[in-house]
Amino acid sequence: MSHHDWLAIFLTLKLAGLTTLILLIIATPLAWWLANTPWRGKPFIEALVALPLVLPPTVLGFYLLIAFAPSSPLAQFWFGITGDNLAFSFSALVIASVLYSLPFVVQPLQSGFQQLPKALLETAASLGATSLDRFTSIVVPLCRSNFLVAITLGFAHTVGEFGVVLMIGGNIPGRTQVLSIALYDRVESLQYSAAHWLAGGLIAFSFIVLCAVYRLNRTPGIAIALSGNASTKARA
Amino acid sequence: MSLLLSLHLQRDEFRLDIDTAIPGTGITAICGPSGSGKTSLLRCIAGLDRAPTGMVQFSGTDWQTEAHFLRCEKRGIGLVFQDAQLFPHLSVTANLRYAQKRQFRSAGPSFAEICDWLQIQPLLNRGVNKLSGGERKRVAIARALLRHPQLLLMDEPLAGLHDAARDQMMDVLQTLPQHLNLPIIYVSHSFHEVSRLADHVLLLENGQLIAEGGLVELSSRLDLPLSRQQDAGAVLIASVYSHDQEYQLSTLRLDANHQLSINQIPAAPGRQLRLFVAARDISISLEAPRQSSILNILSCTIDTLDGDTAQHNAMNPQVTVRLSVGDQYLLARITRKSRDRLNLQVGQQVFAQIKTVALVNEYGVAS
Repeated sequence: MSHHDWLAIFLTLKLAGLTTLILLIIATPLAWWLANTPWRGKPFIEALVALPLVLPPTVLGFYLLIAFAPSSPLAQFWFGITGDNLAFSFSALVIASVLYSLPFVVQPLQSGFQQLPKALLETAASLGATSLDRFTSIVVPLCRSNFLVAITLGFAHTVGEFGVVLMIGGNIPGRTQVLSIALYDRVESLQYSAAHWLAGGLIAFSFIVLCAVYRLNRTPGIAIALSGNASTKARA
Repeated sequence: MSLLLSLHLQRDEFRLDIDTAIPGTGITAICGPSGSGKTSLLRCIAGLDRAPTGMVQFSGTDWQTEAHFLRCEKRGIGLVFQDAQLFPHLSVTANLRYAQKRQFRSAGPSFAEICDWLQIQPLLNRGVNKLSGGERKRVAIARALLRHPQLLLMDEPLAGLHDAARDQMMDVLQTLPQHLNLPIIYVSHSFHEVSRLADHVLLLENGQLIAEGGLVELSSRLDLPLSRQQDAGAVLIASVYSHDQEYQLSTLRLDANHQLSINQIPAAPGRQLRLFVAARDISISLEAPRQSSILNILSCTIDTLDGDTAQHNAMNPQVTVRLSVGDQYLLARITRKSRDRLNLQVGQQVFAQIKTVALVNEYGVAS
């Protein structure tokens, strides 16, 4: 594999890692709010979050391209605080990936939070746990598998992203050329052996990650949590 | 030290209006049929729900006022839910440690003492989903006590338990006040449970407080729905007077003139006991029966006849009669036919023959 291929792999992992981290910070409170709010406008927000699931990535890419153009208010605001151009930058890729992968992180978390028995949290409160304490001591361990799924999907989906990156990233090795684009490049220029290394490597990587997740998920988590509660209800 | 409540809450069709003061010692039962607002009231006391208009004050500290609402985690309460709500990702010990780590105050019983009272020592190393219903509840109570709360709240701690587990649980609950110097509020729909455990009772119906007072007083009031229940009866306070070794009987005194015999119990003379006499276990006669196998015959005065207070019972084949014995009361359920045949009148002297006297504290049932 060439130096460019390694750069693309490294850049992809960096993009997916950073995107997943940002998504966890944004999506956790958003999913918690969606799971608990009695607000009637909730379906509107849910639909907005889910849009990237149904839209062709090029649609999102097109609007982001416009938003990131140097003359746009967003790009100028960005230039004002960072001194960098947003167009064809790594930062633009991160912003785009966060938007594009948002539903893949929000949805598993929201469903986990919704299934969590309220009375368990109320019990924890009665035992003196503040809301942050309740979140770390009860919610996170009981929704562990939901977090795992959210992280895996968020990461994998960012690694596999193509359309959006193609529209807004350009194809600058070491800056915006990610794995999927590099692969496309190799195929276009008929470098099939390099293409095999990239494509096969991606398959192996994804398979190993998924195996690890399923393996981890077999140890006690929400599965036991929920069956434990069901049996209590049956007895009561 | 007491709990002052003024709570007003409207939720769809349901309205809760409670203004009362709950004593700062002993067990107070909140009793009423399902849907009467017992659990809503408990949740407002716990700080899990906020009645839009209301005031809650516990031993001088404001828990809720117009402007201020103290969150549940700051109230220093122990709360036991109906279905235990043990944390499923933690072992029994870890559930208990969870409370211990977040103790409200350092003074209080130790881990070992609490495990001992609730008989959960053998369960400590188990997973919570390997416990029976009764075991789960005992662990939940232990966990609430490890918080070292200043007020213990329990929502139907006996619901969903089979008879043996229920009896064991009652025994455990009965001994708690001896160990703990804190008020306990206990929600139950069953007056039978309440008569064993509570000192003070709040009776709820449709979100309204219909009566409150000492258990002994409320149990014999004919104007309350309690006296119309199938297993109605009166709670009496008696003290141990003497023991008859030959016949293995103990004599109890209600007062200087009234005594009862029960199967011998290992209690020292002078000790106060709580008794329950079911209304259907009493028959009334106008003369003292001389030749009867029934030992417990008390001379008493008819205080009230049920027909006086509840017109609807006119068509009932049975009536309930309240009899005064010294300064305490008995309830007797007899047929309307007997009432008319004996021509029973308020103020009349009669004799109550008592078939069964149940001892409702820790020694179980004796006759």
